[in-house]
Amino acid sequence: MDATKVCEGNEDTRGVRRRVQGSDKGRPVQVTNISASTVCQETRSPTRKLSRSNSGLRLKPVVQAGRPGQPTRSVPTTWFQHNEEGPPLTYKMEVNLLLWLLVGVGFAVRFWKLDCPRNIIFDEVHFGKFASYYLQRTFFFDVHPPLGKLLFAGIGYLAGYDGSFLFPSIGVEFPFMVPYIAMRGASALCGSLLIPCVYSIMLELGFSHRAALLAGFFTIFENSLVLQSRVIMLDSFLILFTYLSLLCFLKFYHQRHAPFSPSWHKWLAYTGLALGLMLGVKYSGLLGLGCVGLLTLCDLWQLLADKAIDVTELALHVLLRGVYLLGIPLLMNIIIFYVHFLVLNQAGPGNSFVSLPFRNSLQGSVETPLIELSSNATLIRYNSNFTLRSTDVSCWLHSHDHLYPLKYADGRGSSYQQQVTCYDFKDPNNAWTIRKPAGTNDSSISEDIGVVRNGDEVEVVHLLSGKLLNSHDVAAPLSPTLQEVAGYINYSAAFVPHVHWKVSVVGLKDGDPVYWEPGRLRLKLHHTFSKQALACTGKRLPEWAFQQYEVVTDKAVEGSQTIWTMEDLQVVRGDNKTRDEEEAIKKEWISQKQANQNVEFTVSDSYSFLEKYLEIQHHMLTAHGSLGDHAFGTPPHNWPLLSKTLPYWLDETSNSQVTLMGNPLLWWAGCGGVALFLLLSAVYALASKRLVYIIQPAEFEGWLTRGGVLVGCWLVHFLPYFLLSRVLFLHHYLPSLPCQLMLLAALCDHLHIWTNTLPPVLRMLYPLLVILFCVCVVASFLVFAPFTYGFPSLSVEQIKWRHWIETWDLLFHMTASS
Amino acid sequence: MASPEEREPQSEDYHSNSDSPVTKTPDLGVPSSSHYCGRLYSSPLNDSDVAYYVGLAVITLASIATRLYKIDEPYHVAWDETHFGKHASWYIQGRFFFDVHPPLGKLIIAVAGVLTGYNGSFEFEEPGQQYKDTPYVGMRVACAVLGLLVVPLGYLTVWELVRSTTAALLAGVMLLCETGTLVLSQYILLDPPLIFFIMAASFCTARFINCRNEPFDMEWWYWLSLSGMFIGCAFSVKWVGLFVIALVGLTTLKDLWDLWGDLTLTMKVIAQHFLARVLCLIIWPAVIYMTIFAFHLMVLSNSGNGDGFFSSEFQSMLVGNELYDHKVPEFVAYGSVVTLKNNRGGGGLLHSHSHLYPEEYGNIQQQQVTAYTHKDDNNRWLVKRHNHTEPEEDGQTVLTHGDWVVLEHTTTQRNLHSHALKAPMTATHYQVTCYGEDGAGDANDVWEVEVVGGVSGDPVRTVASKIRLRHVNVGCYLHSHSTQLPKWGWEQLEVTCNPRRLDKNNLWNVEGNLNDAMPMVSFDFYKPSFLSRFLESHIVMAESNSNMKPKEGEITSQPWHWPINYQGQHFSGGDYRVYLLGNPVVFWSCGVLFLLFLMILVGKLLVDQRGLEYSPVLRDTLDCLLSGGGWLLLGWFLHYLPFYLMGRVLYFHHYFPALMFSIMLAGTVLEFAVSFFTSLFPYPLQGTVYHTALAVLISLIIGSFVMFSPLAYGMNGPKADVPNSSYSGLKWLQSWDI
Repeated sequence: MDATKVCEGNEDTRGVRRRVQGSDKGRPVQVTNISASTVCQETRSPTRKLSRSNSGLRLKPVVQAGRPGQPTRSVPTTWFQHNEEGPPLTYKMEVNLLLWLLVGVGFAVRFWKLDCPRNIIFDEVHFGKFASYYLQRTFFFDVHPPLGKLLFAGIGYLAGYDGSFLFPSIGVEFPFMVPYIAMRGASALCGSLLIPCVYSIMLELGFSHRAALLAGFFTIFENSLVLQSRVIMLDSFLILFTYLSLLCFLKFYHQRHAPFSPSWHKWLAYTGLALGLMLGVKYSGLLGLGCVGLLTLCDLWQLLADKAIDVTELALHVLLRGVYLLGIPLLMNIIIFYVHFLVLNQAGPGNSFVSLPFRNSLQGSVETPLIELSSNATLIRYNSNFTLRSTDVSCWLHSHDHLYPLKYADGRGSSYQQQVTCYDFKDPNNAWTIRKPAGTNDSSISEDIGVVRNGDEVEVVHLLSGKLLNSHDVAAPLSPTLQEVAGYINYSAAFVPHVHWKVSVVGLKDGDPVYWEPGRLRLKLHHTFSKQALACTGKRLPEWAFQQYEVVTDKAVEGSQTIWTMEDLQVVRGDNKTRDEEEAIKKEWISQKQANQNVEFTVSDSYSFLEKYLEIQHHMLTAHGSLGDHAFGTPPHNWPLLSKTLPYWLDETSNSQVTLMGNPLLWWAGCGGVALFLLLSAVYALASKRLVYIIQPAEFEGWLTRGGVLVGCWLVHFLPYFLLSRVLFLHHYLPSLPCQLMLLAALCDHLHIWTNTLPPVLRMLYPLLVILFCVCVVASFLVFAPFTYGFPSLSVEQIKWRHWIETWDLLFHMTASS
Repeated sequence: MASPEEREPQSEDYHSNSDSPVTKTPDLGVPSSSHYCGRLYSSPLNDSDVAYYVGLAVITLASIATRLYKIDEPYHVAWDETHFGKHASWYIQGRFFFDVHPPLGKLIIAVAGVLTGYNGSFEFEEPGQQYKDTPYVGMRVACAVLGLLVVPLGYLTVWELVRSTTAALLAGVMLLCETGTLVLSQYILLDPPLIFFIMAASFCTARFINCRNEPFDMEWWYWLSLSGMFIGCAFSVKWVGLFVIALVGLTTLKDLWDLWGDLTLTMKVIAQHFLARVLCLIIWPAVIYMTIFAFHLMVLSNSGNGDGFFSSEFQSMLVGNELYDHKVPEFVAYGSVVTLKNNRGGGGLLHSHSHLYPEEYGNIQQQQVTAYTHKDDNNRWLVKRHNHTEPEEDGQTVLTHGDWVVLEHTTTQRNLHSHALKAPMTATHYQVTCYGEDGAGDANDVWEVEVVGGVSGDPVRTVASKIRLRHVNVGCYLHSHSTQLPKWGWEQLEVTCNPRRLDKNNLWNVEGNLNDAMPMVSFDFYKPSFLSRFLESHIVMAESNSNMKPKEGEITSQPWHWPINYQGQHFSGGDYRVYLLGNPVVFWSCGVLFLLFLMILVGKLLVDQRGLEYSPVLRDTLDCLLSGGGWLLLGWFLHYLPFYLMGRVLYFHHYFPALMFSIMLAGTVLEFAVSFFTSLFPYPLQGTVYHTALAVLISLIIGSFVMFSPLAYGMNGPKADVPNSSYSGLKWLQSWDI
């Protein structure tokens, strides 16, 4: 049995030899029951890279040596030959003991004292609440996609929790029924699985086992990653899925020698799957998608140069990658949202965020589903009071006793008439009266209570102030190209009132009677004089209008900003005569409708899934921008050097606290690592440009690509935050952190070659230095562990001692200090 | 601005190269070093020197004509002239002021003003103010001269990059007909000098790169040092000059990288190359920048309205300031009325006013305490003993290290107070308020004075002592930093009480000290050196630059608005309206050609990676286009993308430096497109097609200029919204407010 026959290519053989050699020397890889075939298959790619990367080291001469124990002399004839055939039903296995040890420690570090503290920490207040909402099936709205929260809810469901605890505020103690340990356990599990994931990525990238172990080690003792794995938050999921997608992609990349083979498809599909999971948790996963996308482009760029691949095959490559890497995540996203809507079928706190038809699809919403011309349908008569709600912006048409400022800050003048705005809240000032045009400017009430028909010209009176809704050729306060809308005040000046509006109901013909059903009547008000339509621009007016929304008339009458929903209606009830009249109109209307089925009267009862899906995506995108400011929000430039911390929780009585902060030693070394990587790359590049090779050109290329991938991933996960204007927190940095740790580990391994020129004694010193660094990392982890675990409680002096950087936010009770 | 003599050897060089095409193909990307450019269609235009000079002359003359036409209109202050005119006046009067921009641009305007007889007496109060007899035209002409030079510079730069008179001509005409550039050139603004220096630096760099075959000769040094000078000047006008420094820097790095890879050169020669560039592109511009600042500080020797932004030491150098060579009480005593200055660059004076903190910051609304950079009476505080209710009679007991004091705000007679409530903006600090009535307060009004480096008994000296004020009950320190309060606090700086002692923003010094009872002593204040004044100016500038927020109701714009010419900017209102809006034909064709260039770039990269063969002439032409165009593209990116990262308020006119690169790129690509189009025709027709296409394009551009020129030269009558307005045809986009 010869290894060279089993393995393809020469390099692999070298790998095997090295491997065996290594195990003899007690190197970190434990190989039991050596079988050439398993070794070759399991370790093909990593060892090939390994052997190349270490060719500068003193292991190089070993290549010529034979297998250990294999005699070079001819073997004397033996009578009793071994049967070469293996025993039936055997299972050969290989156990990477160090890896298992690593994973074990990782689990221990993350699961230790998971129940502590028994209080709601930071954003658990949100995500726990969302889980409760899922269990209660009440509709809510959040900026993050549902998968992570569904997972928490699923755990709660399995643990028999009914979702009755609403996670009121940070610091509140969990009642017994809340399975918060199990929920945190999901986070901790993902956080722990990150460690083998990081290990494998290092191997897939072609780094040595040593470097991979080191990277895993750093990941274990990184306070921020530990903390984030111990709370009911989404980041732990996000980070795991991000690196899982990277790992799957690298596995897929190593299948490039056999394109379109089953395992090629398998790993590509897994990558898509991991991306889908990642995007199902948080949309910041788009950065992870970008990362894989860039690697895919590089992959394709390489394929492009390969003339053996013809154009159709190239197109197939592109197409399949597109389908797997974009199609699968999209499909998963749709499925996840489908489940989301399926679960959340009851009206709840999210109602106010979504449109009326959406709400109507939820059980128990205020707006009951309607049958055409149900008993709810009310014929609108003149002198009825109503409120109008903008469909685009969630606000009501409003006016109040204040005038537009005489001059705006930019020098333009206004009409100085009563403000008409759009207000976010219910208010008596939202009430308006519809009435027949009086023909004069006076606001005395015309007594006519006839039926309002579509296309009628009407006047709209503000109920409390009696001012008429007016629009005129004055530039609107914020949108100078649009006309101002005001409550008309007769200054007997040059401002002629233009107070007539044409009612135009969506889906009705002129002359049709206008029926109102709760929240169902959508109409436009066309300004008769200017032919423009009443619209809400969605811009917030300044202080003088109490930051309500701007209302204008808009030339673009077809836009959705001009559609208003009549929310409430108080009809003037007439006598029997009017009731008879109503009945007659109703009959006429129904018969007319039956005669002409094409006329749409009500909005379709069922709001389709796709409409819901698109609407919620729209709300999620726009809601990100409107997140408020936060006291502990930190801009991105403060992240890498850990100049800020993020307090999560402080106990009410003691100084035990949970604060998000990294292991400072690792963070600073990580940044140093990036700098050193760039510096070394620059040195190598400068030298090789002058044809001086500090390391072999092939090795240099490998160094650049592997390190480049890590630095690139780090940047892709970090830089885009500089462009975001919303409030950001330190934990947004965490997805990029493992890249830095991996790079640091790789550097620790790589720097070894710089010791080659030193005398052997000093050369021995280098591993010791690395070990010393590792010890320091653990020490620094332990120093800050009380902030990670919320245990034990520290005294003020101890906290102050840990206050290494002035700008860190570490909390303690003032009273305890004196 | 190559004079013919300077250009002569260059052009011979070019001819010798084109006679025997060099085999070396130019590098893709930055920078262009191509002396040989392939031509799909070789027009006589490109090959004759006469065409080159005629083109240059015509472009320059047309630029002079368009830029100086109606230069005196409008006869009132337009837009930001109110700022820069004011600044020029202050230079002429020598009164100290503070502005976020470095001095060079304003100095140029001031010098032009002095030379044309302006005496600095006009107020430039607000846009629309009539100039009447003020000789303002000189200052406008100075700006316009710099602005008009941009057009020939664009022409020259494009020629250096792609060696095509046609491309240069197209770029020149587009620059010429760009109405927005025209508007910016005609007023007393910083943009004309800025854009001029940016263009000049680009041109010199391109020219310098083309000198690479004869390193260290006169011409080489000339263009290198000129590049350095112009980047220094650009940076001295506005800090956005940094972008052109980046462009030149990257170009130089690429150049050095190539030299480094040239194994025929010894390390000594490479070191010489490197040092020459360090000298000319780093040290020389830095010297220019600092010299201009020194001049600035020298000219502004009198006290003015900018004093309050600067530290007490800085102010003591300004003639007329209360700290200048005046006798003040050396020590602070009980009963002194003092002003307290936060001891950091750009720190404000401790201030209070009779407005209260809004309700959400504490149940009992208390009076605001802020830091304010301007001097007024609300900055005054009376020093009282903590245990005496009566004011000190003699006013001679000196305040010392470790004393407990109460500071009474003299105008509202309330005491400086703090308590364990969160500060309004900085949640980790405590709130500072003014509390009490008629000077009587409570135990939370007591502060302990700590002189830095002092021991018990050390007196507090005016200006010279740095002090901390520790709140006795809470144990925190009076603190101020660059965080601004919202509207309710008049956007003054937040003052808090910081629990951390060693924060450097906890330091204060006594600036003003009024006390009749103390002897007035003249003693030497710490006189800051030029370098520390220079540094302090920069800290203050940086701070106010990032704090620039839009004023209420002001029309600001987003960077993505700019390249599509989404909306303009009003320069002048009233009956005579000027609207800064790019010539849409130029803008949009730039956009289209930009995309075309990107497509060509990506396409060529893909084709090359695939290793496909195509005609060598096309390859040469593309190489030339991509190296020259790539450099311009880089310039555009560097002048445009950083704006997305800026937190400050942005305006449309910030785009114009980037626009210059975009237009030059457009000219280059357009020439390629025309050549490519021509080459599709059979040979005999090619000349006709080429020149017809050129004529059509140029007349289209000029036509659009004629159409939109009223925007720049002023409009009367109704707005374009009104149907029968004479400008209604110009309103191509809803968002234009013509």
